[in-house]
Amino acid sequence: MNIATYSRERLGQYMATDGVRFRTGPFVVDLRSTLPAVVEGIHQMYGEYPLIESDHADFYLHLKQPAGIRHWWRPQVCFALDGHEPFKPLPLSQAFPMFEWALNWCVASHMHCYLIIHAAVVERDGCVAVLPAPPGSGKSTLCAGLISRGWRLFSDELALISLKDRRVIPLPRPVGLKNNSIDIMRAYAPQAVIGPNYTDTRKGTVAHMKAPTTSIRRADESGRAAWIVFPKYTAGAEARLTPRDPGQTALYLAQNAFNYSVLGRAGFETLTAVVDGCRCYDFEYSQLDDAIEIFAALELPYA
Amino acid sequence: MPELRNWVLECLRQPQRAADFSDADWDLLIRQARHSNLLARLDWLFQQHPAVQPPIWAERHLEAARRVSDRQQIAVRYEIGQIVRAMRPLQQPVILLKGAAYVATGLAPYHGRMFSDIDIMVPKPVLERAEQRMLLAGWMSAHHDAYDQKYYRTWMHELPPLRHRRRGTVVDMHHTILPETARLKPDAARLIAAAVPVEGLEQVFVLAPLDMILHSATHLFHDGELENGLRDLVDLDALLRHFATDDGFWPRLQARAEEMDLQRPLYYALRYCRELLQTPVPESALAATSPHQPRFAALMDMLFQRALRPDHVSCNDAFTGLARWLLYVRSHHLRMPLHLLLPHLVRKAIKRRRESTPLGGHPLEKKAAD
Amino acid sequence: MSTLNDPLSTDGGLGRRWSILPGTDLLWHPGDDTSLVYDLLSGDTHLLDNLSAMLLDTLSSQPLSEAELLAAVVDDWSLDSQGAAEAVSQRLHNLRQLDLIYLTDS
Repeated sequence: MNIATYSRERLGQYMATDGVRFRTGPFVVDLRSTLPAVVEGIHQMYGEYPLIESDHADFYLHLKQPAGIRHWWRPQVCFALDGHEPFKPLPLSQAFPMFEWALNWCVASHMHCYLIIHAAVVERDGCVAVLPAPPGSGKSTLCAGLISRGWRLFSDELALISLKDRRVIPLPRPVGLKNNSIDIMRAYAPQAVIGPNYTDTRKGTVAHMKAPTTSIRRADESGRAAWIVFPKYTAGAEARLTPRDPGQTALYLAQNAFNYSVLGRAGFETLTAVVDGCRCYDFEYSQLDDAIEIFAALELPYA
Repeated sequence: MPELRNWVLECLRQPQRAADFSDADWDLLIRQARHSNLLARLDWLFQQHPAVQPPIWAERHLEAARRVSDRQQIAVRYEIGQIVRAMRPLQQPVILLKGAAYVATGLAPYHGRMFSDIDIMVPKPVLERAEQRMLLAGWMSAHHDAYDQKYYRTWMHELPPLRHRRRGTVVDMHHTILPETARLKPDAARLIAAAVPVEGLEQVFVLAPLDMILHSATHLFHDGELENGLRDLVDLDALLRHFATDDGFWPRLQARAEEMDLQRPLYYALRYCRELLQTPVPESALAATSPHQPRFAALMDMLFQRALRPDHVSCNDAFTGLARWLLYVRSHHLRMPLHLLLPHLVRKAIKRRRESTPLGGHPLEKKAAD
Repeated sequence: MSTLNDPLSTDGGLGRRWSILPGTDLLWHPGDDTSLVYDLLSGDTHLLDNLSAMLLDTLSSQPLSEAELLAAVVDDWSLDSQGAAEAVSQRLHNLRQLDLIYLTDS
């Protein structure tokens, strides 16, 4: 059974009372909310995620309007993790983006059985490409482009690397598209489900692209990191792949991991082993089709 | 009213009980333990009981807590080294308090303990120079607000927290164990005189065992806002069990409490350790503290019973919110006279609403820590 | 007398020895031109060039003066002594900035 089993109305009833319990990647999420935008977002983006009938959840999330006058005047939304509200509220219109951010935060700040790096992750034939990059580098756009042309989505934000066997673990969720890339993807992947535009968020306008069905179905199939590619979108640039120093790469990843500092020795050993097993590149591009072509020809590290 | 299931308390008393836990029990335990900062402690207890086999999903949460706690302990050791290095030119004793002391000496409570900051104490005459040394070595005062600065420096027993510029670690530097304005007046000089050197660290001390217990009790019942109430009670329980084997321990503890004017906190400590964690406190020791029970013992019971539960919705009843609020007001009332207290609480309440700390790059903003 | 120098003094102190901080435990991950080193105690990760890595590794086994370090480097690296002195001094300064080494008193 998956979430789409429920009508939009039924889903709303469940979310308002007991909460809806579903699996995403290795985690079970219990989500409660009476907010129509959250119900709508879940209905649209999470229809294919399996419902879980278990006596446990990894994260108990509740999205709601804070009490008080703000209920009526410039209404807001806040999220509670199992009764505690770690963050300040956002405008109510951002309720669904807040759910996505909140769930990312929950994973990144609790799941220290993984090394968690801020990166988009895609896979092909068991080989994983990790795309770390600062915001604005076109990481999500490239990720959305690749998954609409045959690559399997692992995540557009969080690379989960198992500390036990160093495999990369999928956490397929909607891809967060920002600003210009929203229209680019609507044109580039007309078959994709892209939700409403949320304007005026901290990151500008945001819209979500639903994870491809196969990515959701195969969420329990891990992969082996093969490439670490730092994308950089430059208008008009010819697509170019240049090798990158592994040491520099590892240092950058260490500084851009969510929990590297928590993991100590295990973090260092995992990170260096992963980088050793990968080809590392800088990648400049302006056209998605060029990027698809170059990614299709990426050489395996253990040739 | 449904029966209250406080699995954290159950498992602290009898970790082996978890061997029969269902998924639902594990689920509740992990949620309660996380909200009382005791997940890593329970993990350590379970490691001592091989019959306890958590389900895979629960083990992931325990592992995560274990990793945080392990790393925090290393970080505390490192910070102690850095503090010692910064203070060495003063040639004055630095006394490690609470968690830092347990880690430095490997004392019982340190297994699986979580940390938020490092507490140290220096003799009051040295305080100013000690602060200077810390500032020179990269720490800065975490409160910029003039009122906060004045509040700490005038009324408190510690400086405004010092945060390291690069590492972000926080040190609370005390000169005694209770605020200047508090009604109980333990003599810091006697604590320092009795302090015990830490092996391998020059000029570094921890409080003598009895004082360590009394300080822990005082902090929990007369100073803090009980945000880590149960965690602190677990510390006390571990200390009492550890030192109880010393000769004449209980009468000596009693005598020291009397000397230091700390009988009331000791009364609370023994009462709730025994009642909640089944600490083997002898009847005679309880009887000796009973003259120091508070006037409204039944009311205090009602408040502490609630505040010492995990801060999780499953442990709340209709009075939990009120109990926590009353204890919050009480903790401030114990620190300062009423005419100072009311304006202070109002100010804090307003400030809490306004403040925010942006979380670098993350679209969500973290709420202001109090 | 204290065994650690004032952390803020910048006195290079000829004849004084460089040492790693007490309790330092380093994990190494050597690469072609650079090495990653993880400081288990501080939790810091550093990327060092080969000369810095070699200096730090040498100091991990025993404290040495700058002159002693220089002698070792000139032998091993066939640098001219002027260039080597500058390179070594600059690397030592950098390692100190990273809180990896310090100057002992004696």
